[in-house]
Amino acid sequence: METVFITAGLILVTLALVANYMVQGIGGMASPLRQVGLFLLNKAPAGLIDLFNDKAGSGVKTWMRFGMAWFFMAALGMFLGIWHRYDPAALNSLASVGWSYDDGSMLTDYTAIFFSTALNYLLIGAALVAVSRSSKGRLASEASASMVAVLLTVSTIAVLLLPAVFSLINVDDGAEVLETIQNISMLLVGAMLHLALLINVFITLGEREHEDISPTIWFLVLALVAKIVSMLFAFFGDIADSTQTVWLAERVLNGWVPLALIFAAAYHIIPFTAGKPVWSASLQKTNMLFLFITIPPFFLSSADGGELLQNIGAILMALGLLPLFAGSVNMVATAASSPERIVKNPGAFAATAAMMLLPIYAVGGFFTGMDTFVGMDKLGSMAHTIDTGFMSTIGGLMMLGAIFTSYPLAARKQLAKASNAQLAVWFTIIGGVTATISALIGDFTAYAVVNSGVEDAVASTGGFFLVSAAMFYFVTLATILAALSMIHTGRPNNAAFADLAVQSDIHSYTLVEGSTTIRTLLGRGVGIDTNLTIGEVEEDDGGSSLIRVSAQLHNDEVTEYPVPEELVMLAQFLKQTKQSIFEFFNSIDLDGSGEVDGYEFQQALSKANIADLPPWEMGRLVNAVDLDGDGRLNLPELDIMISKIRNDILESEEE
Amino acid sequence: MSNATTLPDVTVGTGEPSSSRVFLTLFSVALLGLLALFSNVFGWDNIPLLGELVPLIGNLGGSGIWYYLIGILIGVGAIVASLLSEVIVD
Repeated sequence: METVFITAGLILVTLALVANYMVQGIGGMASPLRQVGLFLLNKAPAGLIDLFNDKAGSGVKTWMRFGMAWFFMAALGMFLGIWHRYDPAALNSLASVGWSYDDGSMLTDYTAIFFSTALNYLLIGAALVAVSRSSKGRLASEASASMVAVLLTVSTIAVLLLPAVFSLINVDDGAEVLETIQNISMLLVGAMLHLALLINVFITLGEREHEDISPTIWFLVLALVAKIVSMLFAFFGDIADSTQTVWLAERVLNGWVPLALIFAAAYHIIPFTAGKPVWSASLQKTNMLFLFITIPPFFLSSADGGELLQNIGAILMALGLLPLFAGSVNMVATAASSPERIVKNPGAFAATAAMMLLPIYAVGGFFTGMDTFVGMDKLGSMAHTIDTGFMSTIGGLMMLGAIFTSYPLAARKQLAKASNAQLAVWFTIIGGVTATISALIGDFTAYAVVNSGVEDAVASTGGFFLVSAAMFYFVTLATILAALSMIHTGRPNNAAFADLAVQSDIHSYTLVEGSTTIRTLLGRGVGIDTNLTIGEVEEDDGGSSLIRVSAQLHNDEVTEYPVPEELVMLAQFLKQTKQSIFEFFNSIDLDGSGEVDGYEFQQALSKANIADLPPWEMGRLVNAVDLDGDGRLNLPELDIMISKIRNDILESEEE
Repeated sequence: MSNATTLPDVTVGTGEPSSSRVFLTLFSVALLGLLALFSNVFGWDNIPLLGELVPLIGNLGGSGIWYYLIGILIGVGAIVASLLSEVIVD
């Protein structure tokens, strides 16, 4: 049997087993495995893990910040690459500092690594936001996720710098040794690091609050499993000289994984922003199932495995369009259910634009990829142009979607510089599409001219690549705008994100006759997941309607925390100065964000001559008032605390 | 008189969008580009002063790519400045 079938079978069996255990669970093994996994995540490697913050959201933010840096590098590399197709001598003035273009293959390879690394970081980061939000708002180990992100970048930089290092030293069989070390760093180490992340995701999922597993989590888990398995196959296949195994592993790494991550991010960003459910469950299942059993039409290489294999491959390639169309239609229809919210949110707008453009690139990739796949090679470098266009435009838009929607969620902040973000999305759409079209015309013209036999005319195609580079410049500018937006979003003085999710301990609530409002119900503790029963009044002895609350709510031992003395003094100060809490809050909210942080509260207490506390003492006061645990004070929280002090302490003292 | 009649038909918003500065920068750069093209468009004449300056930087690095890279370098400068100011804010 051909090795490609054995490899494909093993990958599919692994995916099926993982999917099965995700649905069925692992029974009694869950608890001990969770303990072992948590021990590994939190303690290994000893010393190194302690360097990283375990605060909620820190792991995801690390992934996305690294992704942003790689995204900028990728856009810059691609701009340089396209320009050099117009003028290969453009940067020759930098030869004195080591710049060498040669045939451009190194710049192309590096740009491809930059893009795949950026996509990996940002879209995994976006999916991790969905995972953590489904389970107590954090990953099982945020520190481990941060550590994995840092080590992945170290390993990737090592792969990029090794050729320069090897050019300085003399090693026997240098090229072979270099390739082996690069493979170990990129594939073996990469697989181990992604495995650590997968364990983190599994443990987090084990603590999820809802039984259902969202499409984003499915896509993320299957992408991670496929990535780990195919990295191992690529590594060992190379050692065993099995070209078919390596070929298939490359299709998985360059096709399945980026597409699965794109859909993972899209299935969270778009429905979440629209506030609507995913449009079609059957399209979603088609999207997921067919993606992992077909050959995607991007980044194909020649398959020299006989006629039968080529025919099967061509059929699987044609089927590979199905999941892309299904996912695209599903997401666009979901976005269409709430267009105003989608258009106003730069991240969701970017993701929706990516989903609209995906089928166009997929069809282009199908025809040009088929040309490469069957080895006809009649379309010149058009397949490469479509592939890079797909990565920079579709991938770029999805990465912007992650930066503008998922990152603010992870940082629990509102998106800063939203109009710049909107501009970045437009830059990427216009720049990416026109750059691809212009480069394709250049490719086509060059091919036609070569075939015509009039070689002198080839030089005139350079103009198409100049236009392509100039248009792609807008994508590069978009990455700069995105980076600035990300930096400003994460700043402490940026306004906090107002989460729509409402926590409630009430499981069911019976509505009696008469009228009421949603506000009234929310005020009574009814949450969005509370079951509302209409018209069935359960009479108890007293004849009132019943509100069943969770046992946990009442089983908690009520502990009376002493009110800090400084807060009592503050309540007295307000009473003496006849200030309302609203006036006082407005006077201390220095940045007008509607929230007061520890610094602002410290300044207020100092100005009122109540206390001049050091920063490390402020945490105690903030925690005493901070009901939602976000580390900041808002007006209702302060109002509740001061009113409580007035009622409980000041009035009793007066009496 | 009702309140509605006292309101003007059009008002100018006070919340300045952050992208307006990006637009102004891009328009300025595009304008400079058009001026630089003056001698190409009107081959018989040259702009005084700018016509003297543009050829000076026209051969910068031997390629027009440097005009683009200067923009990217300014962008990187803005990112670094934002990161530094973030550290200062912290």
